[in-house]
Amino acid sequence: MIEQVIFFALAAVAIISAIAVVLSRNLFHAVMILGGFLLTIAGFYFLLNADFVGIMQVFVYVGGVIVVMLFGIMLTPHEANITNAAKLQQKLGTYIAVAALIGLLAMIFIRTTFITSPAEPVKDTVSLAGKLFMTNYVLPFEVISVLLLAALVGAIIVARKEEH
Amino acid sequence: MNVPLEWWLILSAVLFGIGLIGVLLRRNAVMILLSVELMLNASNLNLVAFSRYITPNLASGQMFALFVMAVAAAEVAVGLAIILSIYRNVRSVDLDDFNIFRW
Repeated sequence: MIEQVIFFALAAVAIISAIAVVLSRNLFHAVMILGGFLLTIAGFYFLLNADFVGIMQVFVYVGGVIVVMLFGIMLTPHEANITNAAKLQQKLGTYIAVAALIGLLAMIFIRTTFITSPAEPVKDTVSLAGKLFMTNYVLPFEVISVLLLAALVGAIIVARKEEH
Repeated sequence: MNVPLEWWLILSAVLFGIGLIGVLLRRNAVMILLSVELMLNASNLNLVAFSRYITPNLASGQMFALFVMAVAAAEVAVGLAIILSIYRNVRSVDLDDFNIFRW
């Protein structure tokens, strides 16, 4: 019961903040609301017994991505906040298509019978994640470290001012 | 597990749809990057929910979510660098002004 109440409270906050991010006219406000949205997602992870993923969500997204986004806004012009609105036709088409997509997905989810397992979730997700990173997922783990290094160097090179 | 799995899936579908609206309707490049982050988080929520309900003692979905997070962080860094670089050349972050490759 208490889980359902928490779920609905978090879901309401998440959906409202997501809509606020997408429709916001001010980029700075949008990034700040996105930070709140990411925190509610972390709350969902805690509710799903995935504490390590939740902590990483707070570290990587709220601590890292939001700060990078703020730098991105500060370095781009303020008149960029005023976006020319999409045409009414375009808006209407997008809303209808997305509503149809959500409806279709919801119908599929409700009609499918998922084979859920009654087993207890793992208590110590940190040590389990550490073990899995070094055994089953060692190749993707190494590849992702190379990818992060490449992205870091690439971002610096692309964003650097060219010297003539 | 008082919350059925379907509710999680529907919630993440709704969040994904909201992000999709942002990607399709906004013309500001940074705004589109924000909306893509929204969509990535919605799909991550899906992965973790499946992991919790279908394989609770394997945590493979959680590992996938962690990998997606790392790729998303890299994507934001490179994406913003590209936007900055384009801004230096075109003096705009509006996607409608980036039509220099138009054929």
